[in-house]
Amino acid sequence: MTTIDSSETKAERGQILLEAKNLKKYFPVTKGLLFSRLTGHIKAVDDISFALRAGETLGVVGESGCGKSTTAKMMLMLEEPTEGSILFEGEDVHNSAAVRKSYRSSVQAVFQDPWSSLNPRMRVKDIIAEPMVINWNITKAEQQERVMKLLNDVGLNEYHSNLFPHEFSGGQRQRLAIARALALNPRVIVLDEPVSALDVSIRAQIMNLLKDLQEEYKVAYMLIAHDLATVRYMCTWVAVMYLGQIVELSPVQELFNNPSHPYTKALMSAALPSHPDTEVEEVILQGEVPSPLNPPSGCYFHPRCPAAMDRCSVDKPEVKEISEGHTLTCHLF
Amino acid sequence: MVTADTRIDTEVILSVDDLRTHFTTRWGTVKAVDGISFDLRKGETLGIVGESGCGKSVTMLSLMRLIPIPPGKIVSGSIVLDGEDIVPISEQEMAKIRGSKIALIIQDPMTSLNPVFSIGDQVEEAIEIHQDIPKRSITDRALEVLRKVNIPAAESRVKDYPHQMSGGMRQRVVGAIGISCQPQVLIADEPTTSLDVTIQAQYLKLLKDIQKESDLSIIFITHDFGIVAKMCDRVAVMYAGRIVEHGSVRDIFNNPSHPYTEALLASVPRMDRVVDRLYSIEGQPPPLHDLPVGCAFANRCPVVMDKCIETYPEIKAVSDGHTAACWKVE
Repeated sequence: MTTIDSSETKAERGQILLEAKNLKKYFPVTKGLLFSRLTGHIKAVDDISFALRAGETLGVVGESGCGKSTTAKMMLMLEEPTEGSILFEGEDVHNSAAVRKSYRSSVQAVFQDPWSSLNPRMRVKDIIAEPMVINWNITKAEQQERVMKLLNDVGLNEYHSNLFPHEFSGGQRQRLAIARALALNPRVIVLDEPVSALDVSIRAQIMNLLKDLQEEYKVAYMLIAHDLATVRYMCTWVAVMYLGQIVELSPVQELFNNPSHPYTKALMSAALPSHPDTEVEEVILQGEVPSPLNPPSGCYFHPRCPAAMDRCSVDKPEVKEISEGHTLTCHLF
Repeated sequence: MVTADTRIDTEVILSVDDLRTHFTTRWGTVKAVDGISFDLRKGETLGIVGESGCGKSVTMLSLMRLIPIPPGKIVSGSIVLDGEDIVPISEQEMAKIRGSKIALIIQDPMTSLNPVFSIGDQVEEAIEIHQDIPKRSITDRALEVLRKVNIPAAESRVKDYPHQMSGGMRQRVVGAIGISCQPQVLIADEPTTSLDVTIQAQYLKLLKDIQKESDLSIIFITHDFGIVAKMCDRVAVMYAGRIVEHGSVRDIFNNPSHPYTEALLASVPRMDRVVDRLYSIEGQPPPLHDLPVGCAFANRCPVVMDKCIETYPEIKAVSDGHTAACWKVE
């Protein structure tokens, strides 16, 4: 079914490839060893919905523990959602084994740390060919031909194919990881902090490479990041997460011109300035993210929110759309 | 090299002159720090920026006299701290200075605290070694320092172990140890890279408050221009073991004069405006054991001239208090 040619079909930019609907992931918490009983749930991801579009990038930002990585794991089918569905080109991926299989090869990942995400005992050509060996029924010669093409695509040379990962610098390793992710002509790539482990001067190279490849292959990216400047540069859409929920989801320009949720504003104020004369409104959040085991009542953000009202601690805010595509969950709107 | 700036009237607390720290390896001599000079004044924050392998951390280790000998050695230069050159003094004398006059906060709070001692013990240890005060007051002093770094409910948390605290809290404890003996110079080596943005903002604000209160001089070692913009008064940009540009933070951001500084600034995405395409510096820094005779940046420089490959450029003044090592500077 899947060979080099059949998966070459490219979607139009902006077409919805993947939709996550009301995704939830609860991890059970148990007590006792022999007669363990359930004492509660960690609501790592609690009812989130979003869409990934061909040729576009969705950025997911938030503090540690807000559910970014769990969301990424669900997208990669490394975690089963407790509730909700992932629709890939209109079909629920958890429904049939056939959809599941094609989904798995259509969604790939690039991880944060290129020192641990590449097998040190494999040669570059085998690392990049591995997904093809598993998923495609093609000859060794075809595989190698494709490996060479991929190496060229990510800015490396053919002679690199016989080397081992330790012979490369951090930036080059991240290029290898990207080449491996591209091997199966995926439609969606989940990028988990792809540049934060790299040096400043190398970050720009990798970000530009990712943008160029997106232009060429019309692949959809889901970018997990904590640096808002990176998000502004890379993304088309941004989802701001807090304690397992998306508190604000918006096109990137709209979010930066008109940040609306108090948490988004606080994140932007906490971000480092680009110039010493940049004036920033000082909204320094007190305290840390509460435990998802026992989240606050009402709006989860109210204990840290500078604009909290009485009803915030009681009522859970609904999702509201304040302008086209810009939705948020807050009683202020 | 004496640099003039807005704080010219205040006293120089740390003066580094032509410092060279080399390592002997089987590939040859690695010139990790090769002739750097700078002054740090009271209450001032100096940022040292550059890529990995440019010599930032070896500079920091040299200032603390923590270079592993062998293979490393401070081959020449002086580090004058509060009127005393700390390069030739004995290890015993240095041990007295380290922690009391010059202190260090390192990057990773997960590994810089000892997991088997309570945080109270670890703060007390530093005080006990450097201050001649009775045991009872040591505990009080430790509490006071922990309150200073805004540890909530410090009285009950002194008995906690590092694993019971979050990353931000742990980094505060490391900060508390750093300032416990009222040092004159605090070196912060990427203190916030492992923290979340909101926690980072809290921590940087705390450092600023402490600095204001006690007229502390801080050296920030970082690769993040955002931290430089937020925290520093002066900046030294390092490349391949040397300072290539040095000036006030506004000089560096408004009028970068070394092509490397310019390239670094252009390669950072910005939050306040739309950037169509980032500038990317091609290539890699040269290996430090095999530096070219000319300018080390020549092979990556967009405005390279023949002269650059032949001879290393002298440090020249761009304006008052702003210097750059580049042939382009007239």
